Amino acid sequence: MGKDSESESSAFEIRSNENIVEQTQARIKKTEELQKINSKSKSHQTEELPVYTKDSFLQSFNHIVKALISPQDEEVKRRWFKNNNESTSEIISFYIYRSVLTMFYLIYSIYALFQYVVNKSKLKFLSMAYKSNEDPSVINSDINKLPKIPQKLSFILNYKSEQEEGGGIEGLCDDGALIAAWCISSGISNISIYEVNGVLKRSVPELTKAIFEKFETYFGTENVPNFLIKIPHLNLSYSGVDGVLVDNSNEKTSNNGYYDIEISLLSKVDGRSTIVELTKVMAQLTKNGELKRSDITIKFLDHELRQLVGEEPDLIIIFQPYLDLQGYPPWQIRLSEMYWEPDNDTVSYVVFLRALQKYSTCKVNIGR
Amino acid sequence: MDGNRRYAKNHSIALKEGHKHGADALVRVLDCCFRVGVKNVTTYAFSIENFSRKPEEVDTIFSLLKYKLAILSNENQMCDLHNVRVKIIGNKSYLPKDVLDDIEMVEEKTKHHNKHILFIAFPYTSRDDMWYSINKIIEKFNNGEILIDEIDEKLIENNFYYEDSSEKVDILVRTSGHTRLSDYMLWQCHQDSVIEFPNTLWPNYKFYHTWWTIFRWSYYKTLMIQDAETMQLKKVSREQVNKRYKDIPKIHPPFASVNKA
Repeated sequence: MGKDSESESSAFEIRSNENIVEQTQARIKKTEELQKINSKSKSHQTEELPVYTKDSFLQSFNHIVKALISPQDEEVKRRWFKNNNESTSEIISFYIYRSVLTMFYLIYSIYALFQYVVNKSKLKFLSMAYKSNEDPSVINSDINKLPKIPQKLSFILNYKSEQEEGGGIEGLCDDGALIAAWCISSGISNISIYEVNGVLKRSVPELTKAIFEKFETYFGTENVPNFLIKIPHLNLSYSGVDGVLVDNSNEKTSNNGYYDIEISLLSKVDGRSTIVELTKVMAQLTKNGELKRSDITIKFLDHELRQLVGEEPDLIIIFQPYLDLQGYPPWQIRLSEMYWEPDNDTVSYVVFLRALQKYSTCKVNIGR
Repeated sequence: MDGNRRYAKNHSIALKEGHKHGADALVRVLDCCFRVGVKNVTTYAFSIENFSRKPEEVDTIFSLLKYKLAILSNENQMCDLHNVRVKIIGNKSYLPKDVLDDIEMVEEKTKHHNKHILFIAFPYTSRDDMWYSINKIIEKFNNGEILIDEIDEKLIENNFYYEDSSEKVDILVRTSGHTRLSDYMLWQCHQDSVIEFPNTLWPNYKFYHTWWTIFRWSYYKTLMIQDAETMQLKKVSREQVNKRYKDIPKIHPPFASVNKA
């Protein structure tokens, strides 16, 4: 009996041991899963970080020092330390490599600062050398020297916060108006302005007002050029004819169809979402038998997207310190030249002129 | 990979030699990338538009590519060494039969590798890629495999020639100083990607250039991450917002209600 009970109890012990083992295994699995989820969400977050940092040199320096001392995130840890209880040699080698990297970063940050100063002073100097003087004839003579100018021009503008100089909606509209004035002066009649969040689209009245004022200062009150503002996404157009603002968003353009400049406003919705919408529409049409699948060719897509968004620009001018397309319609940037001035963040005539100068030297040979 | 012909012209060597130097540069850069830990690399080997070049030149490029791929995928060469899978993206219907057979053999041979993927855009244009994806989605929709509401950016992305691994690119480099994309990866790099236009011709593109590009990218990425951590700019997804703030109404609350007495 005694033996039996002993064996029973031992069996029970084993079973309870098994239970414990199972429980611990389950717990470990859970924590592992949690870690996985955490690391996933982390990598997800890092993907969505904003691309632009405006820190001063000192702040950046501070961040780098902090990056050295602060505890590392999970991903880095997993890559460097095989087990959870990291050995000293691993830690030491990790910190040696890390300090080497930080040294490189430090040197680079000094170099970047140096470059920033050089670029800024170059721009300062150039903007003194080339001035538009708010005079169309000056701009015209500058542009006329160039062997070729783009037919379709596109600009990427950024909304700056109200606190900044030249910021807010007013600043943005002012920049847009300035660009329109330069383009008319240089004989470019088809431009598009891209602003990621569509601020410009929502402030058409402000934009038209700004354009009027700008045109008056450039061309005089007597002959304000006609202009047409189009929002391809909503299929709306507003026009200013003979100095009178006509809101013909509901009726067809009654004007004889001549405008000195056509400005189309684009935003992020004209990019990927438009392609997605187009796909949906085409899918429905093919299902209903209204469109043959063999008819959907690259040419057809191109035609449709031209209608929906606009023509492919010859040149995109970006008034940003670095190149970032910010979700510009992908179909439209096939052969577009891009121009941006390093470390420049203002809409200035020099950048415009230099972009056109650069464009005039570019040779496009498709494939050949 | 741009500038092979200009390189040949500058060094007054045959065009063929220029392309050969370019192919060597590719191997060099790939080796560097995989050692540093870049996960996937895509190279723009041949554009659909390139078929308008002289037939001899096209043949040269084809045979060079075939040759290089064969070497890379041989035993104990780069693909084995770095565990690289080779995948051809692009409209294969343009390729002659013998070339197609050869590259499909390479794809088959490296299929089991899973650490890195080397995409070779051959012959590729981004518009063709988008068209291909859209066409495939429409076909699937007509066959009843997907619903209309399921069509979104993600789905278009997953139907590219890349198949499942078409994330956005982090760095895109176009050599030889042209500042345009020339129909390459338009969808993948038009937001949140770093685009570099170095003035170097492709055959001159050395280890140093690759390192410098990646180093600069990592420098700015580190700054951004530090920035976001201090500024608490981390974006929170819609679901998480809803989870965190349950009692805040999602639509505008009624400020006043009018009832009939």
